[in-house]
Amino acid sequence: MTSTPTASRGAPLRPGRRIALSSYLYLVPALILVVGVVHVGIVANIGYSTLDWNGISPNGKPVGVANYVKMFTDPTFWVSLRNTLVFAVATIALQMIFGFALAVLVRTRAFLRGLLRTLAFVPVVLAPAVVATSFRFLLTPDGAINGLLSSITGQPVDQAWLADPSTALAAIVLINVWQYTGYSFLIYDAAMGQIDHSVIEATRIDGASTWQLLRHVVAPLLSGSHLVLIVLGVISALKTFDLVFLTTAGGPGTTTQVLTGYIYKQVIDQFHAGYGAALSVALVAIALVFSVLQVRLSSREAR
Amino acid sequence: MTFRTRSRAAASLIALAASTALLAGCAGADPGGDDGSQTVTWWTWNAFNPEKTIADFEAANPDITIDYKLYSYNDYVTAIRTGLTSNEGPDVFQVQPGELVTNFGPLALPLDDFLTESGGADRINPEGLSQLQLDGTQVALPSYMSAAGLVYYNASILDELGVEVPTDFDEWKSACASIQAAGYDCLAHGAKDAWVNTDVYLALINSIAPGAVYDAIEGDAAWTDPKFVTAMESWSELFTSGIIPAGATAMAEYPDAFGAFLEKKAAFIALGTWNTPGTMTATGIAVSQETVTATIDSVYLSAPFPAPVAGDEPTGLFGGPDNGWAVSAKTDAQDASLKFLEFLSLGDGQKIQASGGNIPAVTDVAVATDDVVDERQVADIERQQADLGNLIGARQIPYGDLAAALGEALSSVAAGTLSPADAMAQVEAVSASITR
Repeated sequence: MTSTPTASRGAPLRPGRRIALSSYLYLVPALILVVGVVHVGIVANIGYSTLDWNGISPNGKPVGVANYVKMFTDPTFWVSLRNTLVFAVATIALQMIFGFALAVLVRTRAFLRGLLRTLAFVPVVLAPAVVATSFRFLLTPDGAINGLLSSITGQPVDQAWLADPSTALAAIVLINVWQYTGYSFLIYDAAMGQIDHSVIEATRIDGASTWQLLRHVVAPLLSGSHLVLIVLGVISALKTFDLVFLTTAGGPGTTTQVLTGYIYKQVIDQFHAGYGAALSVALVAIALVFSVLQVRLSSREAR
Repeated sequence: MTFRTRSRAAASLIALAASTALLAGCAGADPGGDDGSQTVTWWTWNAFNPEKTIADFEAANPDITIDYKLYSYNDYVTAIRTGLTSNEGPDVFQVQPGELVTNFGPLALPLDDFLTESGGADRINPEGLSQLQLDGTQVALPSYMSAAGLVYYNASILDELGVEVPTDFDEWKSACASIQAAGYDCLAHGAKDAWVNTDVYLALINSIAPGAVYDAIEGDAAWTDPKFVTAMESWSELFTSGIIPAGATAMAEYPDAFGAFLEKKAAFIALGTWNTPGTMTATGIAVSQETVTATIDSVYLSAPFPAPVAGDEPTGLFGGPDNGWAVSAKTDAQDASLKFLEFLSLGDGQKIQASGGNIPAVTDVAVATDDVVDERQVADIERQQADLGNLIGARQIPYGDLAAALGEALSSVAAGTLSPADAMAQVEAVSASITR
C-alpha cells in the first residue's frame, strides 16, 4: 500500500493562494522569453508586414495586404521556397539513411566503436560558419575535393561545384549532410540501444537475413526516431542561413537562394523591412504547420 | 517556517531574481555624464589607417578620446540600424553614396552650416559633396575619392611574356591566350559580389555609350535599348571566352579574387583607384602581404578597362566619394564629433589618406607618390588623381531594388542561366516599377 503525502503530513493539502503564486513565479523566466520575445516578436512582425517601411525611419506607410500580394507574385519568393523544400527533403533523407547505416555499423562491429562514434559527431559541433567557409575553399575548381576526385578517378576533375548552377544546390546539400549526419546517427544509436535483444534473436531464429531484419523489424521499431528527425530536420532546414550565405550567397543568380537568405536580402540590402516581415510571416506559417503536425503525430504515437 | 516552506520561498526568490536579471538586459544603459573629457564613438567598416588617425587627432585634442569600432560590411549595416535609432550608437559613422545615404541620411546631423563655416565647400571635390547629399541637405563629408573603370594588371607577368596591355576585347583575348598558356588565369573576378559585377558592367556600358547608363538609372531610358543589351552580351563574353576563369560565380572579390591576383595566379583584376595603396605602395603592400601566404614581389599598374567593341575608346573613370563620414543626430558630443569630422575630411586626416596613396577629398592635397615600389607607378597615380576630376558619373546605383535587379541579372548571365536580352528585360521591369 502506498502512503500519500497527505497521510504523512497529517492534514490534507489545500490549494492556497500562496502556493499558486510561487508556482507562477517559477514560470516567469520562461514566459518572458517565450511570450515576451517570441510571441510578441511574431505579432509585431505581422504588424510590420502591413507597412511599406525601410526598417529605420520612425513611421512606415500602411499598405494593408499589398506585401502579401507582392509575395505571391514574386518569382524569387517561389524559387527560394522551392530551394528550401528541396534542401529540406534531400538533407533529411540522406542524413537519415546515412545516420541509420552508421548506427547499424557501430552496433554490429565492436572494433573502433568509440572512435567511430566520436568521429561521426565531431562535424555536428563545428560552427556552421566555419564549415561553410572551409568548404567554399575546398570546392573551388582547383580545390582539394577536386584533387581527391582526380586521384580517385584518374581523370582531371575541375568542376566548379559552387559556381555551376547545376551543381551548386547539390553541393550545399552535401555539405549539410556531412555536418549533421552525426546527429541522426546519435539519435538512431540511442534508439537502437533500447531495442530488446530478444526481438532481434527471435527474428534471426526465424531465418531473417540482415536486410530483412533491418527493414521489417528494426526500422519500424525506430519510428519515433524517424519522426523526431523529420520534424527537427524540417525546422532546421527552414532556419538554414549561414551555410548558403557563406558559400554562394544565394547565387549564381537565384539558383541556391533560400527563404531566410531572401528575407535577409530584402531587409538588410534593399531596406524593405515591411516586405521582409511578410516573407517572415510565410516562414513562420510553414514552421507552424510542421510543428502542429509533429505534436499531432507524436501524441498519436504516445497513444 | 518548515524546511519545505523555506526552500520553496528561496526558490521563488531565485525565480524572481532570474526574471529581473532577464528584464534588466532589456533596459538601456544611461549615456553617462561628461566631465570635461569627451568620448566620440566612431563606427566604420573600412577606415584607412585608423591607428594613425586616432593617435594624431587625440594628440591635437587631448580632451577628446575616440572610441573606435570596426565591423565587417554586412555586420556594419545591421549594427548601424539599431545603433542610430537607440542611445547606444555611434557619434561619427561611415556611409556610402546610395542606399546608405538614402536610409541613414535622415538620422544624420545636417552639415550645411558646418561646411560653410569651415570653408569646406570651397576645398572639397564637388562630386564628393553632391553624392553625399539627401534632398539637398549635406548629410556626410567624403573621406577620400575613388573611381572604377580600371583594370589593375601584374606588369611582371606581362613583361615576362612580352604581352601588351590590351585596349579592347580582341586584344585582351589574344593576351589571355598567351597568359593562360603560361599557366596563369587572365582576369581574377569574384562574381559572387554584385558590386564588382556592377562595376564591370558600368565599365562596359560607359565605353559603348558614355554616360547613357545614368539616364537609364533615372528612368529616362529603357534598359532594353540595344546598347545596354550589347553591354550585357559583352559581360557574358568575358565568361564564355575564358577571360574570366570557371568558378568565378562562387568567388568573392575579397579575399578570393584579390588573393589570386596578389599571389601571381592571375594577371588582371577589375578594381578601382582604392586598390592603389595595397598594390603600389610599400606600406600598403605590407598590409596586403598579411592576407596571402605567397610573397608579393610583382609590380602592379593600372589601365582603363578594355573596350568591349574593337576600336572603341575604353571607359573613363566613374565614381565619387568612396565613403563618407556622418554625425549622428542623436550624438551627445556634437562639438567633439564635428571637430573629429573636420580632422577627417578637411584636416590632417586628408594628409593621412594622401600619404597612403588614396586620392583625398580635398582638391588642394596631392596624393603622395614617394612610397611606390616602381617608378612607372608615379605617373599611374598622378593620372588617376587627374582623371578623378573628370568623372562620367557615380559608381553606386541610388535605388536598392534596381541595384539588386542588375546584380541578379549579371550573376544569372554569368552563370549562363539567363540570356542577355531576357536579363535586360528583367532589369527594365524593375526599373519601371520604382518610384523615383
